[in-house]
Amino acid sequence: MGIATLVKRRWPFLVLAAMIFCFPLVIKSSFLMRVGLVWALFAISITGMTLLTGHAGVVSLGHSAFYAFGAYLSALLTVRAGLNPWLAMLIAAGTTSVFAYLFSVPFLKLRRVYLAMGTLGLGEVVFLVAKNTTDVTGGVSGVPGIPYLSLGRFVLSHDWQLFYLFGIFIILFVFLAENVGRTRLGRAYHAIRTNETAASAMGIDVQWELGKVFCFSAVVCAVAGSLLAHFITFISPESFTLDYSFALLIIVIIGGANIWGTLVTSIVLVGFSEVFRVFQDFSMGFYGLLLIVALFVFPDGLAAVLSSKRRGAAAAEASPPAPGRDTATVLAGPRDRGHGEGKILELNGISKRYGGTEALSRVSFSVEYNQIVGIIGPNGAGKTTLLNVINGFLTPWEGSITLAGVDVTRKVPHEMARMGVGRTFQLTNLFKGMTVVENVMVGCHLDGESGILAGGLNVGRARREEAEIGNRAMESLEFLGLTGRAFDIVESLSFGEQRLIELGRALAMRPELLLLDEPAAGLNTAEAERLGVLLRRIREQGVTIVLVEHNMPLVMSVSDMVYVLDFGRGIAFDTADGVSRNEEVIRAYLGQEVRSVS
Amino acid sequence: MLEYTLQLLASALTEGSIYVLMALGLVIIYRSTEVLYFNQGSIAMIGGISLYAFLNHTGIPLAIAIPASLAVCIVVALLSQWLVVLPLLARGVSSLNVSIITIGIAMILETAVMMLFGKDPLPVSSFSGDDPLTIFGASIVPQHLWIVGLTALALVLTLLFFKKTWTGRAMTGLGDNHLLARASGFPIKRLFTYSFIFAALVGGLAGIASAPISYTSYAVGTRLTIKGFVAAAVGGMGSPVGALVGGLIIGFFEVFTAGFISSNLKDLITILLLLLVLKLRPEGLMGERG
Repeated sequence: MGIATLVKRRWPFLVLAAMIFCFPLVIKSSFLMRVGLVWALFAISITGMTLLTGHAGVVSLGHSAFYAFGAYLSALLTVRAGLNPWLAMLIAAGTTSVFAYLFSVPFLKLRRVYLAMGTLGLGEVVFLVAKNTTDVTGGVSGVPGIPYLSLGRFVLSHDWQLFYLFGIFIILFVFLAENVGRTRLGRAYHAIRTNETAASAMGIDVQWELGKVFCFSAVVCAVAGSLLAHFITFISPESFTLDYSFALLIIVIIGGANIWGTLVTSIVLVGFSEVFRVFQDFSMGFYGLLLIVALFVFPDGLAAVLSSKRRGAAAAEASPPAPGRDTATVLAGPRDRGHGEGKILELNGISKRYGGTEALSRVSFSVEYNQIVGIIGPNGAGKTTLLNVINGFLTPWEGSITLAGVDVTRKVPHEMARMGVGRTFQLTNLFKGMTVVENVMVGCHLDGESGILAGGLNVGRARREEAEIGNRAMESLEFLGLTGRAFDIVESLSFGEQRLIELGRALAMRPELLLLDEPAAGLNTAEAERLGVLLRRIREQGVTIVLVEHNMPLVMSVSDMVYVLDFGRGIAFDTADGVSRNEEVIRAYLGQEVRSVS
Repeated sequence: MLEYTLQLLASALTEGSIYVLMALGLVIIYRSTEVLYFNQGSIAMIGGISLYAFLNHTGIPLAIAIPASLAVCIVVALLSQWLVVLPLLARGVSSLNVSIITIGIAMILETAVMMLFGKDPLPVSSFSGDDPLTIFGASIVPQHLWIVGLTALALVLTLLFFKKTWTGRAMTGLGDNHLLARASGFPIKRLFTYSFIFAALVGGLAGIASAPISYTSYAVGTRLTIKGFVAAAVGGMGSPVGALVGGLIIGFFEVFTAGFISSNLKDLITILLLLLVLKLRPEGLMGERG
C-alpha cells in the first residue's frame, strides 16, 4: 500500500496523532493540560464501549465498576504490595477481564435489559465496597501515595509526559476499535444489534461474541482506571460513581457505531464541562440537553453521518474475482465437506408443543443429498415451526433429527450454521443500516476466525480473511444479478430484491442444506419464475434444499419430493405428481388452494 | 428488644412503601413502552419540591397543595413523554437508548430545579404534626402512618384499576404482547399517556409523602430512581404485584441491616440482593418464567 492510499484511508488517525502531539506543545496552561488528561482517560474508556454499545447495542450502566477495578487494583498492588506499576496494571487488566467475562455470561442469555440492570447493580456495589471497606480501600479517604509509571529510570510525573503516554494508549485502542468496527466482528455486532435471530442463523455465536466484547470493553476501562491511579497518585471512591458510567454511555450513544463519532462527542462533552467549570452546576443539565438534541438530529448517532457511503467497498475491491472463474461453482462448493450419499437430513417422530396445543406431531421424513424437498400445508400447519426445529431455534419435545449422520436434535442455530445449514426467513430478516454487500458478508462470518485482537491489529490473517469474505460476497451478488446494488443500504431496495439478498446471504454461507421459508412470498409471477430457475441452479451446485412455500406452481415444478403438513401432522410424502393426486392432500389443502385461486 | 424490632418494622414499612410507589411507576411505564424511565425519581422530586413551594410560597392549605403538586408531576411527566419519549420511539430509536435519554431528561429537570430552589435541603412540615404515637411500645411519627396509608390506598386503587376498568385491562394487554396489541387496534398512544399519568401520580405521591421525613432537594431523585429499579427488578419488572413485593423486601432489608448490622452496609446488602435475584431468577421473584 502506497503512502498516498495510506493517507487517504487512514487520515483520521493522522489528524488524531497530530492533535495529540501538538496539544502539550501549544497548551501552556496547566489547567487546560489537566482537562486534556481527563479527556484522554475518557477517550480510552469509550473505545471499548463504542464496540459494546455503539456497534453491538449492549447497554451497560456500570462500567465505572471496571474503571474502579483498574484503579484500585493498580493502587493497592503498588502501594500495599510494592509491585511495579506496569505489572500492577497488567494484573488489574487480567483480573478485570476474567471477572467481566464471568459476570456477563449469565446475563447474555437473557433479554438485554437484564444486563443493564445487572451492571447498574455492579457499579453501585463496587462504589459501596470502595467506600465502606475502610481497611482495604481506605474508605472515603482513599488510597494516597500511588507511584508514577516509569520507563526505566525515567519517571512519568509531568503532565505532558503523561499526556503523551495516554496518547499512545488512545491511538492503540482507537486503531483496534476502528479495525474491529469495520470488519468481520464489527459486522457481526451490527447484525446482533439489528437482528439477533438472523445473526445466529448466520453462524454467529451471539453470547460468545457479546461476552468477548463486554470483556474487552471492561479491560479497556480497567486500563484507563489504572492510568488514572498512576496519574493523580491518589484515588477515592468519588471518581467511580454512577455519573461516570452515565457519562460514558451518553458519549457512546450520541456517537453511535463509529469510533470517530464517539471521539468527537467526547471532546465536545468533556471540553465543555471542564472548560466552563465556573458553570459546573449546570454541566449536568447541559449533558442532558445535548443528549436529547443529538438523538433527535441523529437517531442512529453521529456514526450515521460519519460512515462512508460505500461501506464494505474496501474489502470487496481489495481482491476482485479472478477472471474466468465460474462464480456459481465457487459459490456453492460446500466448504471442505465431501458430498455425501443417501440421506442428509432425517427427522424421526418430531413433536413440538406450545402449552396444550401440539404444533408438530410425530413428524418423520428424510431428505436425500441434492434433492429439493417442498413442504406445503395450510396456514398454521406448522411449516415454519418445523424449519425452526430443524434449524435449532426450537428444541423438539420428542423425536430426533439427524444431519449427515450426526444427531443434531439439541443443537442451537449457530452450531447448525457451522454444520452447513443455511436459512432464510418468512418475513425478511435483513440487517438494517448495512449495505447490501455487508449483509451478504455477514453470511460469510464463519469464513473468518480472527478475534478482537487479530482483527483489531489488522494482522495479515485478518486482512486475508476480510478480502476473501468480500470476494465471496460479491460473487454471491453476481450470481443473483445484484452487483449494481452492492453498496446501497438494504432498506433502499425493493421487496423482491430484499428477498433475493436474503437468499444471497444464505448462499454466502456455502451451505450444504438450505432451509427456505416462503422465498416467493410477495414476489410477482415473473420474479417467482426467476426464483425457480435460481433454485435449480443452486441445486446443480450440490446444495440440498428444503423449501416451505405456498406458491404451488413453484413448489410443484422444482421439488423432487413434497411433504404435506396439516395441523402439525404429516399427511403425505411423495413426488409432486403423487401429492397432487393424493385424496387427503386435496381435501386438506390443494382443493382449498384451487378454490382460493379460482 | 421487641420494641426496637417493632420500631424497625415500622421504619421498614415506611421505607418499603416509598420504594413500592417508585417501583410501581417504573413497572407501569416499562410494561407499556419497554423504556426504563430513569426520570421517575425526578418526578418524585418535583412532587416534593412543588409541595414545598405551594406550602411556603402561596400559603394554600395542605389539602389543596397535595393535589396541586400531583398535577405538576403529571404535567412534567406528560411533557417528557410528548416532547421526548414518544417522538424518539417513533423515529426508531431503540427502547434501551430511549431509556438512557430519560437520564438526560432527569439531568435537565434537576438542573432546572437547582437553579430555581438552590442546593440546600428544604424542609416540608408533616401532614399532621410531629408528636410520636406509641403503638405496642414503639413510638411512631404520624407521617409514617400517612406514608403507609397512602401507599396502601394507592395500591388498592391500582389493583382495582387494572382489574376492573377497560383502560386498565388494555394496559395489561399492551404489556403482555405489544405486537398483538398494536395489531388489534389498541389506542396505543392513549395507553402510553395513561401510563405516564399513572406513573406521575404514584411517583409524585412518593416524593410528596416522603418530603416531610427526609427533607427535599433537587438531588433526591437519583436515589429514589435507583431504589425503585432495585425494588422493581427484585420483585419482577412485569407486574404491579412484583413492585409491591420488591419494594417491601428492599425496605425491610435496608432497615434491618442498618438496625442490626451497620447502616454503612444497608445499600450494599440491597444491591447484592438485586444481583443475587438477577442471577438466580432474572425475571424477578413475582415474574413469570418463559
